[in-house]
Amino acid sequence: MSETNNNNNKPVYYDYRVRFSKHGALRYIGHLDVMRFFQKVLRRAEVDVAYTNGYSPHQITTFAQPLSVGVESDGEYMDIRMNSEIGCEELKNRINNASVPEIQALSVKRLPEKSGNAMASVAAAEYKIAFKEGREPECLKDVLVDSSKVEDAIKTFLSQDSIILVKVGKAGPREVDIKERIFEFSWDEEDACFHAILDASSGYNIKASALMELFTGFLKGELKENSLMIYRKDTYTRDENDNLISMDEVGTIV
Amino acid sequence: MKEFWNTKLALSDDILMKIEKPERYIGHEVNSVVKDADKVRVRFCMCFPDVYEIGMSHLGIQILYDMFNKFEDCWCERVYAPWVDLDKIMREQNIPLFALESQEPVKNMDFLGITIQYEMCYTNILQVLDLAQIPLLSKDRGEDCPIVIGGGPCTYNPEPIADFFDMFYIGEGETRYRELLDLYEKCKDEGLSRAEFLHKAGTIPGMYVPSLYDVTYNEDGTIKAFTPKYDDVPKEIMKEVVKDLSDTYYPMKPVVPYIKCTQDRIVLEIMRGCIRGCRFCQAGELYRPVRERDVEVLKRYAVEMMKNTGHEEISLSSLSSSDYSKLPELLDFLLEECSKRHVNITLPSLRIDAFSLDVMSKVQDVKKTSLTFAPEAGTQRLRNVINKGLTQEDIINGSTEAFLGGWNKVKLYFMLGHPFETEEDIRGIAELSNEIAATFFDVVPKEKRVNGKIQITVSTSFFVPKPFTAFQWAPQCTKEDFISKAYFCRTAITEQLNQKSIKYNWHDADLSVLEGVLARGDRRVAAAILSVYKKGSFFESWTEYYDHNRWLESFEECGIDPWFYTSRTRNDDEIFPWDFLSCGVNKAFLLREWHRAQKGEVTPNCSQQCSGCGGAQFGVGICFAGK
Repeated sequence: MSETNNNNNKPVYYDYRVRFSKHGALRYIGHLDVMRFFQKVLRRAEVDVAYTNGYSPHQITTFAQPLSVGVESDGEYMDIRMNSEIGCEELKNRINNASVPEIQALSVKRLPEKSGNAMASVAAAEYKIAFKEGREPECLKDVLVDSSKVEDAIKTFLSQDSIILVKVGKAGPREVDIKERIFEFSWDEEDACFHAILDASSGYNIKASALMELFTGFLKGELKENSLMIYRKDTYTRDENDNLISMDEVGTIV
Repeated sequence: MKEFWNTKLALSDDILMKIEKPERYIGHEVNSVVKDADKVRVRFCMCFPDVYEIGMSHLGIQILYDMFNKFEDCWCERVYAPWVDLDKIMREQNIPLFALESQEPVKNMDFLGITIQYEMCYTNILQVLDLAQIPLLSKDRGEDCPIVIGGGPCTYNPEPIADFFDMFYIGEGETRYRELLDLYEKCKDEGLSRAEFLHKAGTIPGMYVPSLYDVTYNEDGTIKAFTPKYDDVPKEIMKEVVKDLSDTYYPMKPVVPYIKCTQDRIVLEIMRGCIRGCRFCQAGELYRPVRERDVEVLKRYAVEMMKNTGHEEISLSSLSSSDYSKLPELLDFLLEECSKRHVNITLPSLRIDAFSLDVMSKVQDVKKTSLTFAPEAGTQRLRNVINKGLTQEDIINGSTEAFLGGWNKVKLYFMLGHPFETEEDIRGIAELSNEIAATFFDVVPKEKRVNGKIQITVSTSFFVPKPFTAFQWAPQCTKEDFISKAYFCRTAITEQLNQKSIKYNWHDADLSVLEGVLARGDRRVAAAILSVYKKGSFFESWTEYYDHNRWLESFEECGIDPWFYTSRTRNDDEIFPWDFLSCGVNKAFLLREWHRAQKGEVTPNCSQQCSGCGGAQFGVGICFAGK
């Protein structure tokens, strides 16, 4: 940990949560490179981040659920541990001045002392999903022109007894029923795209593309290659009553 | 979907999602420069003809990128060689190579500047031109093509690639580009042709325009004469030199890549040139005279660059950092400033002594790092031949101190195939390595040995004679010689008492032979480079893409005998293909050094005594220190 307070020997630090975006050309940057990018941002921003000890000290930060390459987002999260207190607005401004337009801090909150870190507390993620122009699967071509047809298709899809996703892990493929973990799946008529809230907790993450693959498969069709445009709107955690809340709602503005 | 950004990129989403590391091609890096194309007069595209991660690690391009973009009338962008996966797609889909910043085709630029750092990238130069849809041969280029200009160490023998370039800039780039751009703009205003511009450019100091010169050959294939076609074009081209390193361009805001690059750190160039004069070393001659950058300037740069990049590491760059006069002061400053900012310092190879060991132990985990020595030759006799001023005593004393300080890994670098090398010299490599191991067991008591062991890694590369060195007259070993030398060395090592502590690596011999042809080749070699490229070879510095047989076929087809360029004995008075260039060091001095090498005579270094190499003609640096 960082410096210790002389009175009670407890490490003194201040945790902050940063919500950030990822857009445009930077949607091709992988998760590890986003982490490296922020290390450099925080150094350029000259903020008082806490570091580990040793010959190669590294900043104490954690990131929420990694974003797939090609996906844009306004709901990414990173927790930063600081050695000293800083105003949320100031931290946000410093980060943004040291960053690029494609990746910007959208809000900053000071976390209460005993909140789980960004990675461990992720519960769900919210997506908007559309087909790239001309890339709709054959089975959906007639459906997508009529909102009520899409809504019906989604309803029948969700009314199955089970929705089986084959996950390929280290121990080989395994089947999991994700029915209870599709928290929402609907049609956004105004923006002509799908809307979904999916389990994103550690070990149970469902990718938006996986949902669309199952949905298309259910309609006896197949997704075309690289046919989805996916946007992550937000990432969620659970409050003390087990309700989904935006990760942004944890903490306070100081 | 309204949240998705519409971004202008040269490659489609389908391609970017399919290829390896799309980050290589999207630009948008921190500190990259985007200008309004309508408000500049010259578009310059700077190229490093290798993959992005290698090219982005190069300091020279960062320096020139910064300089060009400081010119208000110029927008300088970057391009690197697309990796094989994208290369294939670009050819199939006829996508022209594009600059990273504007994502616009390179062929629409005014200049394509290519830095040429090693011979094995020659076929990548052709790949870049080809993908850019620029004719490979200078003579085939039309009025609309960019001016293709080369720079970097390999341009000190530009002849094997002369056909592919419109012009070369010989020497340090900071000095003459302004003049060249002014001339270009003037020629454009006056509606002059490409040929007229090139003719005028060929009269600017440091500029070499191959099409302005004729070469004739003797019957034995050596050069008879190298003559300018016009009276106003110089017979000899002198390299350009920065007179004051503390008052010139330096990239305070270098571009920071997203992907991990080979040099993912701040590079602080502390001096240029080297006092040592090792007879095999080309860089040691090319960058004379030694010029230091002011220590106060360096301190300022270091802090500024830490703020502007956010890099977590800084390293010092020079040919021989231990010779920098204010090194202790600079390192003290950096140690303090870096620990405050949690930035690591990576040290260049320093001469191993009490001072450097002390600094090393402060910035590295002693148990994890190794000591590096580059004796280059196994015996004192041969080290005298190559003028390498490192003695066995230096190595043993340095090792002793290091072992007492806790180090237990040593890396040793040697070359095989130096002129006048004997079996005794090769055995010396094994014996010296054994001696170092023995020293460890002598000075470190058993209970203090980590894992009870010392690890010595011996690496040998094969010596390739280079232009502008004392050894430019030397015959290079054949492939068979190289291999038998490596076997001899390996056997000698296995005969040592401490052989279990010594690991031996050696380099590929085929590559060294080819490097030899390209290093001392003439204009006729270009045909083979073109031929091997047309057979599908590029990225040849990556062993998996190097196909030696294609080269042998191409040499055969073009009527080129590799031996003529590598292992032939050259007479003292032979005219070399690069003789029309000068790096300031006189040919007479180099010849004197070649003769001294034959006698095993050591020449003192520049700080001990001036040997009159010719470098003093630039009027700066160590040649005038204390005078």
